[in-house]
Amino acid sequence: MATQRINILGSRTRPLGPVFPQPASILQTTAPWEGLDFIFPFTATRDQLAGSFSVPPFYVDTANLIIVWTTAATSLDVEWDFDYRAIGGNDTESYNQAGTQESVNDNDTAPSVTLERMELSIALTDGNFAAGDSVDFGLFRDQTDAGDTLTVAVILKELLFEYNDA
Amino acid sequence: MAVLTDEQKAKIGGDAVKDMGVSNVTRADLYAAVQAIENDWEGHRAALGAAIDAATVVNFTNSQKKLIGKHWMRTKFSLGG
Repeated sequence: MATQRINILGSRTRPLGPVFPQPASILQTTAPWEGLDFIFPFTATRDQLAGSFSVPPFYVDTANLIIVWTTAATSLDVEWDFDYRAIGGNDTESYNQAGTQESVNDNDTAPSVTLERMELSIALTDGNFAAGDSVDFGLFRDQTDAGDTLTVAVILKELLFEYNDA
Repeated sequence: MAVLTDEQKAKIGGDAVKDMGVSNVTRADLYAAVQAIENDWEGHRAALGAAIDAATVVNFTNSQKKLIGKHWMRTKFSLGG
């Protein structure tokens, strides 16, 4: 049994409202990398990046969401929420269900030095997932929550699903 | 006095933070500063209108007074006043 991670951003990733993709070089002015980051600007709302992924075939348990992020600030906190529903089977479960299966959240403090890599792990309920499930999700920067004290944009670099395999 | 929504305070405050070039201002402080400006402004608004009326021969309309005030403030604060 080993711990695995898969990237859960991809072709179905969709920024909503004020969230937008931006070349990394705009903020990382020294580095030569031109890939896209997702920017969650300073607002007073709960701003979403939506998407979906497939649970890997050898999934067993110990499900965690890994948020890899950074910001230009060096103090204060960001509040991340993650809502999802896992849908499984073959001709047994509808994609069109009201509400979420689970909603989890946690806050993380800004890096000690500008634009350092930050990693936040949020535990998910193991039993909600089975190998091969389709998972629809929304990742939110919840700026309606008192836990989000930052007044600048937050940069999402990666979003990962971590689990133990067989 | 007008109570600004969080969305309004974030819009005004976020623009100010960008102009200030700082990143470690707290949300609570930013909201409080914006609301304090709003409260103080509303407290003096009527007196300011009366002062303009007293200084002018032909009274300006409220809309005209707002425009004069807007351009005064842009020039004043862009010069570091």
